[in-house]
Amino acid sequence: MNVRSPFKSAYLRFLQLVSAVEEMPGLEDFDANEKALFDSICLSWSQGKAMTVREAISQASLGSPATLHKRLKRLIAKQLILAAHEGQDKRAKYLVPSEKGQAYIDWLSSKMQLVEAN
Amino acid sequence: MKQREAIEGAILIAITAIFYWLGYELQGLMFQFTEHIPGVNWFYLPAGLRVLFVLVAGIYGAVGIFAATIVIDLMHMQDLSGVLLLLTAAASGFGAWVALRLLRWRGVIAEGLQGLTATGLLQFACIYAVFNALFHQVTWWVFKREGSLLTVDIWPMFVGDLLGALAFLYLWKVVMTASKGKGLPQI
Repeated sequence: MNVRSPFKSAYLRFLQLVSAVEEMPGLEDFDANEKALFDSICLSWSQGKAMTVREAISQASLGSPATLHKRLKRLIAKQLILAAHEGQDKRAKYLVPSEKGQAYIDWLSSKMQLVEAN
Repeated sequence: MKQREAIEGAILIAITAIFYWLGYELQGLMFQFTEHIPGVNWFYLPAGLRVLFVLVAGIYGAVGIFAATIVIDLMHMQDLSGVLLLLTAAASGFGAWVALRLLRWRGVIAEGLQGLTATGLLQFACIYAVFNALFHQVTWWVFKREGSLLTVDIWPMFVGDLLGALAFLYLWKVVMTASKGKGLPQI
């Protein structure tokens, strides 16, 4: 580490430790990275073109395919996103927000209306 | 510049020592019933403070815990004195630090904790619990501390430190999650 001040280096280490603690398994929450992936999936779905798994994990701006795949699995495990085949086509799985995911979008929009009203 | 570093280091040692001492007193108030023998608990919450202070403040954290343990042992452990007291305090302060050095050497944890993963953190907590129990018990065995039995006491101490460290880290995660998600629906 290129910081000589014990205070500064302690603070920077503290920040790293916080992210490791946040990453610890269990007590599931919804982090900013997962939210970004969730948003992009919902946006695509809202435009009538549900994203495939392949498309979702190929969004270089959000991370590497391996990272996005893990994130996607977490969103599915949290039952925010559903992955399903469309019709008879078994080649690709399409991603859509689940009921719980849509309830989350509704909740966010109600909060936005509240902010606008104020 | 050197003087400023020394002052900052001394402040870190003092802060660490005070909070570790407070943590120990809290342990006594809340979890006295988990005591196996004096100095050995089946659940030791200040173990989490050791993990936090050594990871964040490094050697300053270890020295702070060492200093606090001297005071704690003088106040609460009448059977410890002289070299045994100093070595017990060293085991308390430097067990976590040695675990950190080992994991740095193995490339699991970087000096500035860059890229520290949850796995690395849990690995550190586990290795720290091993070293802490080992250092304490070997010291007490060598100095023939009355009422201490290495092969028996090492287990509750290891379990207590590991459980304490994990409880502390998860408690921290719960607090962070709760404060971040204030007002958010349950996901």
